[in-house]
Amino acid sequence: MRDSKAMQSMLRTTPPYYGLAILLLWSIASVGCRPEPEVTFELQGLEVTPGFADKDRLKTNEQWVAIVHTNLFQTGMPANELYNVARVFESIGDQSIAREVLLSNFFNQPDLTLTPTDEMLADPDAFIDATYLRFYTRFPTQAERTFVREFILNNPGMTPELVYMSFGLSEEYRYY
Amino acid sequence: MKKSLHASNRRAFIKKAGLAAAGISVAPYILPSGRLFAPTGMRSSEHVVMVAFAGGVRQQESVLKRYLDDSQGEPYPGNIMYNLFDGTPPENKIVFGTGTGGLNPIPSILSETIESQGTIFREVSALSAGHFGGLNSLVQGSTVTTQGLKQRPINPTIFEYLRRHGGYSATDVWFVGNGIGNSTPLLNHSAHPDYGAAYAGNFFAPTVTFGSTGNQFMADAKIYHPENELAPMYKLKTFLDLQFQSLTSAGGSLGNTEDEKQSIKAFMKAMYAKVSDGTLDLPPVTDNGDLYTMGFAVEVLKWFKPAFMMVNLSAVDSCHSNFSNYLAALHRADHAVGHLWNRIQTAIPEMANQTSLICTPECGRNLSPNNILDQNEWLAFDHSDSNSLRAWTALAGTGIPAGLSVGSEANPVGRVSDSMMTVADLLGVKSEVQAAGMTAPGTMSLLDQI
Repeated sequence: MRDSKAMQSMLRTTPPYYGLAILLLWSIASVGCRPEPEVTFELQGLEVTPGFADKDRLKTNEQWVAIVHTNLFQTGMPANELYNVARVFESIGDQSIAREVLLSNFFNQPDLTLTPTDEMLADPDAFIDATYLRFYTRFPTQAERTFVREFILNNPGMTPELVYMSFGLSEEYRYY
Repeated sequence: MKKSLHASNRRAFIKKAGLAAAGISVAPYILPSGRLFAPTGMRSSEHVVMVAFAGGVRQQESVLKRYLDDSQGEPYPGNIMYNLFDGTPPENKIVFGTGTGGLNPIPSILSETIESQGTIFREVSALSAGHFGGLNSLVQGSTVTTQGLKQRPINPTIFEYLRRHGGYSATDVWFVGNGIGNSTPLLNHSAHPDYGAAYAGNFFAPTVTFGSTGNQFMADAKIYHPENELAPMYKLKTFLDLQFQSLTSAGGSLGNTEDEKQSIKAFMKAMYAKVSDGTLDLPPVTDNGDLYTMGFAVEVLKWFKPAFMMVNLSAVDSCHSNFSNYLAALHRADHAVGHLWNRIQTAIPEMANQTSLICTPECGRNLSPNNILDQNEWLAFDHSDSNSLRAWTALAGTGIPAGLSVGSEANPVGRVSDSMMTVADLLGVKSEVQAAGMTAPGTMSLLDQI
């Protein structure tokens, strides 16, 4: 209110164009003094993972065993055991058989905890996404997700163990 | 009219698609062997077993039967390989047998020696004085100057020739190694672009695979139901592989069919059980690695009845530092061959009287000793001089003349690489191997040199 009276008094004692300029300055100043709004910036929760086109380096036997052990047991394999497994792999000509026998041996271990089958069937998409991330460190494409979902739902014998077996033995899993 | 044209196109499309599908389903049966028809050569034996009597064997203590006479300056000749060669064993200074000091020679297994049953090439030339070079000459039929250790054979191996040109399946050709050292596991196929892993022989180093280490990681493997569990698992794997291969060129397996893989896995399971139960078909004496290796080789024969198996022995390499142990190993390698031949004839009816045997060292050993003395104060021998290029080859069984001796110290006949060509000859792919032109010059079947 006081500001308004002072403004009227000034207008009376100054030429008309001065008043107009002062009014303009006042309006700008009053806008500039408004409290700054609180703005926060966030990143959208979009996970970026490598695609399979980038995987062109073949894992060594030691790397494959170490990674599959970690993927399944969520813990690393001791170095001496890793060395010994690699020796056994060398002693078998068909490495695909060695991988398959080792994996099925892992699945026989009592300390391995797998997703229950009913949990997989209750939310197959979540299971598929988690499996792709676990083994391939990427999300499935929509086509892959659809195929694997339909495959799991239409094959009553499929268990998480067999799905993990398929992923663990797959070609993509041999590369990084 | 338009409708009729569409119907015609549709019929043509279905017809072409059907033909393409038929082609795809037939192609895998053509491509693995690379040919449509049977090999051109005559197969004169159903099965061939080659023993790489390896580790470096001196002529003097083996085919020449001189025992200590030509090595330690002690006048005691004699034959310590009496399953292979005719001749009486030494009577004095016995150290190669069992028991304390090796005083008890191992009794012969065969009632008739390999020499009397077959043909001995008494003096053949080795292509290399080294183990890996020598073994490469046995599997490739050549040595390549650029061939390095820890490197796949540069030229195709006999396993690949047999599979590619003879149409043999992966479980029809086997390499049983004495271990995983000295690049032995690399010998089951070459890096040659026209052959390679797709034509490889199956391989086990059984003392490792079925030893305590292998037992720890492999023996507890599950056996899945082939239809209810394995079939969908492989189907999903195939989908995943197709997705990956659409953008990459991953591949490179041995080409075992799914049935063959199941058979190999079942064999492994059976071996772990036999090791656990103590029911392996082992030689009567089993006090070194070669004898265990041969026991597993017999198990491979019993299970798969392969067309070709090569088994590698190597305990005689102890000769670098211990001559007495070398003599014992030589005696045991002979014992191992006796067991092998005996079991083929008596315990594997599908192979009895239908199998050919080839035994040959990959290289010899020096004429002069080094300075290392053993417990009997006998000097040891390395392998680097011209005596290291002296070897022998023993053949017996189907297609091999009996009681024949070819060549002598003064008249060498044959090369170590000829063993590979002889296998190719017996199994009907000799002309294809010769046409490939990748064996050492002059390499030929021993049967053509009799």
